[in-house]
Amino acid sequence: MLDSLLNLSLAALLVGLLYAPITLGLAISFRLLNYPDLTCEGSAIIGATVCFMLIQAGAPSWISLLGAALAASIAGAFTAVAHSQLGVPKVLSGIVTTALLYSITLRLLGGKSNRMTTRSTVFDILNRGNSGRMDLVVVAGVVATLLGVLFFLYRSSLGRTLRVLGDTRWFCVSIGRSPTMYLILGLAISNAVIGLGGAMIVHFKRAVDVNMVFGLLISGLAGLVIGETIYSARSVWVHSAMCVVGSCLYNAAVGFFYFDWNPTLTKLMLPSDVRFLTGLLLIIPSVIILRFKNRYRLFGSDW
Amino acid sequence: MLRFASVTKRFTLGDRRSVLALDGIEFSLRPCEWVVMLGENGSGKSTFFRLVTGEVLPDSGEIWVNGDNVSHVPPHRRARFVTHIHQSREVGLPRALTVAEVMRLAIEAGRLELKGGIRDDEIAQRLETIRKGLSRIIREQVWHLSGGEHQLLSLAVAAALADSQTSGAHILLLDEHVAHLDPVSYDTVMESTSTLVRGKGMSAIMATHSCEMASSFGDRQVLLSHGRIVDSRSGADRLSAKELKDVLVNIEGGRGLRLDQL
Repeated sequence: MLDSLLNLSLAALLVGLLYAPITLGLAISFRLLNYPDLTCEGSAIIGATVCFMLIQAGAPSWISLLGAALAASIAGAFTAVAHSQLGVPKVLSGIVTTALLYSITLRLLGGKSNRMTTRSTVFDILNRGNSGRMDLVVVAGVVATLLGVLFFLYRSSLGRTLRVLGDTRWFCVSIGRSPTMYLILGLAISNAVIGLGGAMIVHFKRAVDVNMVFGLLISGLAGLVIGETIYSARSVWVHSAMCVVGSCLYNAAVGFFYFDWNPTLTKLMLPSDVRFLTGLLLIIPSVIILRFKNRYRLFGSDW
Repeated sequence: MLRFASVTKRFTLGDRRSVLALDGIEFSLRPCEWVVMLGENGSGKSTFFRLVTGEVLPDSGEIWVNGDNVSHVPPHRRARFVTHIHQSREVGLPRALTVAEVMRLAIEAGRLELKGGIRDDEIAQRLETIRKGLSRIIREQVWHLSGGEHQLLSLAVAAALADSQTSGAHILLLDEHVAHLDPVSYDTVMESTSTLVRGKGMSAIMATHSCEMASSFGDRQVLLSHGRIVDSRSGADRLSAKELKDVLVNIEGGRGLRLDQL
């Protein structure tokens, strides 16, 4: 029992880290930019698909990851352009992009909704023994690298301007920065991070499946809210770290929910119940934040 | 410095009505001049300011700044010569940032590369220049500042933005920036405003509804009504608070709100 609980915890940590980029990307759009960007599921699947195509074409792993980030960043930039230049309302802009991307993705996959790769992925290359522990090290390495990149982004004038844009748009203008330009840049960055998350999942599962992204938005947001609830960060950098922690805790909660505690209980549960649990995991932290109003608020975010 | 050449702006209200917000305005602001702008609600003061910042573009006429026609320059590129201080906090400074972070952004606004970053004592010293003792708020988040502190920080930001420009010529737009303050904060902020405008040799336009303010500050009084400049007085011709009030009452009594049918 204890042994399987330990294994479960390690598995939850692995999955949590694997999905952490999604939460980190959502933190940029929902918190820094204060933009309810619903492109998430679209950019994750386009990232995953492009990554898959590149793996199939025999490209090195790092190129497949970069390609995925690039494709997803174009999706994010498109969302920003749809809102700022074409007048599509904020909430709709991401939905529109996701709809467009769904068709593009299916075309790229040749009309199939899921495909497996026969080529080796980053996990096969770095983890020849195929041990679970080594998988964890690989994913942790990628997430650590991502956190490092974000750390430099937040310290830069670009990162500070993105935070200002989400907080008080007019001040962004006052300091001579174009809000439109920075919105496009910001959503491109946030979706690139999400696309990278999608690509990591492809590398891990050695397959791409259009259905794998359904529910990604809400689980990513649950990770974000859980991370914020257990510790209210005073710097954007710590906030990012808490997003990773939140993503791990969310996946741990899901893992423990499905753990075989009692055979009769297990029989009662359906795999689809996970969405209900996710909903609860979003509501409970929100209630806690609502009750403790004197917390440090790092962002002027409305979402 | 700043020149309006027969600038006209009409807003469509929907329902095929429209309102003429500014009607062929001719105006010029000299370097280091401080103009106080008075006028009833809807007289066009806000539209005037928004035309300077580029938030709205003129229908006809031209706006010149330092010898350049800026009529169609986008707002963010006007930041190098104009700073707008609002009455409302909603459109002022970023709320969740600390005072130090806001100041850092303002100081580095005009520069592309920074040598070694900006130290906290430089920021503290800039705050002290605006008002003695103001550096105590350096670690606070903007939304925890009082109304007076918020406006003092706005002045410090304006000063930093003006400094970050190599040209030095900078226009300060004060849009009823003390209207919501208590009497003590009012005095503090107006004293600092005066020191900043005069000390840095900035050009300023201040909109106000207070006749007392209009008579005690600035070099020139400009009266706006229904989108037109109806009076302009400088030097010894400037009106006292009581005279200003009489003039305003006369203007308002004379005409109703003009909504032109298209």
